[in-house]
Amino acid sequence: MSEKLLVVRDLSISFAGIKAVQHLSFDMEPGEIVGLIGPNGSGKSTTVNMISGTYVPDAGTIEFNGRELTRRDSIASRSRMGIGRTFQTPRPFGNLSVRDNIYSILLQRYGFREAQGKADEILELSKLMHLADAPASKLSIEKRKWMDLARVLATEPKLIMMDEVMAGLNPNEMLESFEFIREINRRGITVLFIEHVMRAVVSVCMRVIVLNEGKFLYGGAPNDALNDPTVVAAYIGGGKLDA
Amino acid sequence: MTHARKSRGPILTPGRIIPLILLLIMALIPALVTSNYLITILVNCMAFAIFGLSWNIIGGYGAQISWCSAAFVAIGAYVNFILTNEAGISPFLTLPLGMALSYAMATVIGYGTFRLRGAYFSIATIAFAETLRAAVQYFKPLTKGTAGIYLTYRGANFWHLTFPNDRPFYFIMLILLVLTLFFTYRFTVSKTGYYLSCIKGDEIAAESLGIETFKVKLRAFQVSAMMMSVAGCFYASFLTYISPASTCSFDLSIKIGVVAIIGGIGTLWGPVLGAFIIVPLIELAAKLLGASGSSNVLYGLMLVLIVIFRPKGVLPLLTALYDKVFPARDAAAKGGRRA
Repeated sequence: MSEKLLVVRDLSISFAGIKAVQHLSFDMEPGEIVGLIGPNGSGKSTTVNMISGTYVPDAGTIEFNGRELTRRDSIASRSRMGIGRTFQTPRPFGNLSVRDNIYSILLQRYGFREAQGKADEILELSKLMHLADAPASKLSIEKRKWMDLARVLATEPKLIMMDEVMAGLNPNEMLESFEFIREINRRGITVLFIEHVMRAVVSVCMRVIVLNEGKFLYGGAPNDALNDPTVVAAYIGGGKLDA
Repeated sequence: MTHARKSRGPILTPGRIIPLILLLIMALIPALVTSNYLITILVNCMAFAIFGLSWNIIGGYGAQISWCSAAFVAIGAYVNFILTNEAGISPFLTLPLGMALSYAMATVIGYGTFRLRGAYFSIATIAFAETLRAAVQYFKPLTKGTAGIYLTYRGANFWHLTFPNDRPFYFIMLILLVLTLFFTYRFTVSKTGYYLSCIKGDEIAAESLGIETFKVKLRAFQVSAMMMSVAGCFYASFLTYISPASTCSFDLSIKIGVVAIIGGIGTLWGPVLGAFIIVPLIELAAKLLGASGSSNVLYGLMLVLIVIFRPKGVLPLLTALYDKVFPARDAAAKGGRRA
């Protein structure tokens, strides 16, 4: 078995007495696409926020690329280690063009001229080249989400945590997004896919982790999750989930 | 529009020719204008344009609103006058000390507040400005307290920046303004400038993408403080008299911020435009309404009107006009951050 990229052990956090995540443990292998799913309030985004450094866990450990993360590892330093993330609601730098949104981030690793070339590559990959000089604030929701992803790619991440990138997209936009995510993964980037849209999870993910009320509920193949009674009960209280 | 792409564009664009023409006109004005009063007003305009540009580094490009500009102006001014009067040192040689002190003060304020989000930084800058003003009033042996300090006149002496009239200062301020514009432009296309734009766009996103927001904001504040101190040094020599009321007041800090906000916050030419609107208007208001308090009424009124009707300042009106006159301008520039 290859070395784990992400090892989460016994992670817990509470907000004003409410246990948002309790004793959560899971691993990720390099190159995987893992779905992190669960009903609203199950602790998915909170988990992402703990891994990215936004929240400091009350207990438990997070190991990334063989190194245990501590509270001294800031959000920015975790990004530089290779932990990338997007947000449920895209957060573009609305005062900049699409190109500059990506270019500015690349400048952390490259000189001006080199960053320009890399920005063009990422714009091509994310199919945003035709919008390169448009103000980021003017993009549609789909393109904003893609630009968020493109910007994370500019950090040259080892892991991208995609927080509900499919929300608000129509079926065609979703299909395009599936392909984009697969292309990102083909480039060796591990993906933690936080999603509500089961069709997306089944199409894209190699395995899923299901959370409910902050606890680990299920881990395994996406299709099996749809038929697992505990998962179905957590989502709709019984019956069958549609992919 | 990015740094690398800019270098591939034509050298003589209207956007570059117009400032050169304006600069030429400004350079010719002293030869054409006989009124010393007008020259004094224009020197004031240029001084406030420089102050506004300095404020814009942190307040405009970084969206971290500072209300302690007068404190850094005062540091540059008092270091200049104290060393020039007491030790006969040239103001040019006092610049490094003023800059170092401003850098240190900016570091102290920024270190304590930039880790926090929200209004903490702005509140801390007000507290710092008031503390410095109280300190200037308290340490009378050094600062002469509320009585202020007069610059020792040494005849027409460039080295000590003393002149029989304001005309030499006109050229000194013009050169300083051009240098400040050039430096500000270089700053905005530097890596720190780009990171600062990201922070202005969305600080949380910037941090999640690896930008050390605390360090970038601190660096910008330090740069802004040092620029303000340099401008304060020259402005003090132009005034020939400084006091806590003239160079260390909250009123001055507001005036500096208002110049940039009214002209066009976070733009290169906005503070310049703002200064050339505000300073003459204040002069006019003082003549029409009387000096006492008229400027405050004017800032308040203008700020309210601008915030309601033109929140991005007056400059976008001119850039819209420019776009109409020169529609062939590179389309990329319209979408670029310095569009």
